[in-house]
Amino acid sequence: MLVGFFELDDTAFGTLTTEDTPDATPVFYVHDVNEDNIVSSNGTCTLFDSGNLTNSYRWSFTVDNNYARGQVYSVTVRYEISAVVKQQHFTVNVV
Amino acid sequence: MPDATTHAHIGSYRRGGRLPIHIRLITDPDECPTVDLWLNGTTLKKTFQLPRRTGQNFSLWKFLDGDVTDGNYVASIRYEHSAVQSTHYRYFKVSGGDPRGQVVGIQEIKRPLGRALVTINENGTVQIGYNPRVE
Repeated sequence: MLVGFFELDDTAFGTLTTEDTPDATPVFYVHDVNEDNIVSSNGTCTLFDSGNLTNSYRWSFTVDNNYARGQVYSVTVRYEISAVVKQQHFTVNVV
Repeated sequence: MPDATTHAHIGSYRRGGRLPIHIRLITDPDECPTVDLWLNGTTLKKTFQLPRRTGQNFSLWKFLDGDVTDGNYVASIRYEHSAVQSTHYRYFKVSGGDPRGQVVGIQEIKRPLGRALVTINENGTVQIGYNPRVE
């Protein structure tokens, strides 16, 4: 799902809710969709609005000079629930 | 079991405009959904409830006032059904605009000093200007 259009030096971000409590904090990987194997960034999600929401997380990364205007990037968030691997996918446009 | 979370990018908006937040739910929530507007997903800017329109449609054209500064936002929409929480996300951008919104009322008055126009904007700002002219 498309989460937005981000300029260079912006912080790209997205939020997600997992189906159940994950075994560990979700991690994410960023791929240039035109060069499938290149991971431009990766990191660990942080809790999102934990005062009101359950099992909600935020991923984010700085759109630094490893990113190029006009490119589309795919963010894959990966986590496990009861040892079963789950993934959610997001799309980011750099403008 | 919670409803499946949905995500959508809903566009770019200016202050003084209105942000359309709409959701149609499969299950009737215990209460009207609550919406939080988060700048960059880190700074809470506004919280409001989404009123029911018809059936299980909930929507609001939310006025974007001066609290909503430039940047990328996520609106989290949360509600409970039989005490089970569900969440949906809407992404949007805010840039520029006038937080006063449109002029929604105008009145001409005559005073010893001259003519004056009194206007009121969507956010309640009242202004008065003497001797209006078209340039």
